[in-house]
Amino acid sequence: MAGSDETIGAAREVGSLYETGTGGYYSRRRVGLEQEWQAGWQSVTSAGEDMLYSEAGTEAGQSSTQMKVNRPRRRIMKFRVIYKDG
Amino acid sequence: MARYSNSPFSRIRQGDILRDIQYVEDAFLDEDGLLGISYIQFPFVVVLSQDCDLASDVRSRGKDPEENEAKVSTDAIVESILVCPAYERDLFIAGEHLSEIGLIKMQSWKVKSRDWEFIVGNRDQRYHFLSGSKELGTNDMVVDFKHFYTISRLRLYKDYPSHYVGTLGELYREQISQRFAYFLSRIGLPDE
Repeated sequence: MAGSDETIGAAREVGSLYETGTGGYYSRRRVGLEQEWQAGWQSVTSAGEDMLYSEAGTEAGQSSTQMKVNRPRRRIMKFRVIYKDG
Repeated sequence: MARYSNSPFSRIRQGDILRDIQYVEDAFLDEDGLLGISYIQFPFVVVLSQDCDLASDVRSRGKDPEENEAKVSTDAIVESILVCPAYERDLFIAGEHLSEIGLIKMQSWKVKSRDWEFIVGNRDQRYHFLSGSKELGTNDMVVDFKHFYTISRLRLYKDYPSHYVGTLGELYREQISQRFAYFLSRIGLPDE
């Protein structure tokens, strides 16, 4: 978890540029943030070969510059457990 | 007195508003033997732990908030911090604020109704209305006192610097704290 948190934190620093948008959404000032977000997750998954991440990044019908982030969301991460002898 | 300030402090305070906070709700092994960790990400939460407890906790740990070992005393440490989610007004009015965690039948409200006026005026004991702030970049939000969570203090301290949004002014902090305590201590009487 620690590795993933660090990566999320890095993405969120950019995300601190969130501004209040219209229609109850938060829009992102920087185009491409979502890609950074996704890249962050990819680096997490590549760092841990046995880790699976089960969440879709962008919801259907939403552009990369407008994601709903103002509603509580449930997320599930899954990891393969490796048992070591000894 | 200002309703909000946005000066991060050296420690978490009662009345702090934090953004994008994760609450781990379950850890499980699924049918494929994978370890699952389920968490809810709340867009906004308000810290409701008593401020003196939070101060004593940091003192007990030797003034370093991220220090997890009690160096000075173990008597006054807190292991978790109480928070209430704050929901965006428009979603709350539509009763859709929890739809993405499976709660799709929350009550909706008519804006031009006495009930909604009560909520906005903080006269409905279950809810607490927080006005939007340009300074903080927040919309109007509603806290539902039936929804409260405790989050590991270490986790919250790690998140604090980059997730801090602002802090309720002292009077407003006391108001929400007192209203929350009152709601939790209400006495349920049997239906006659």
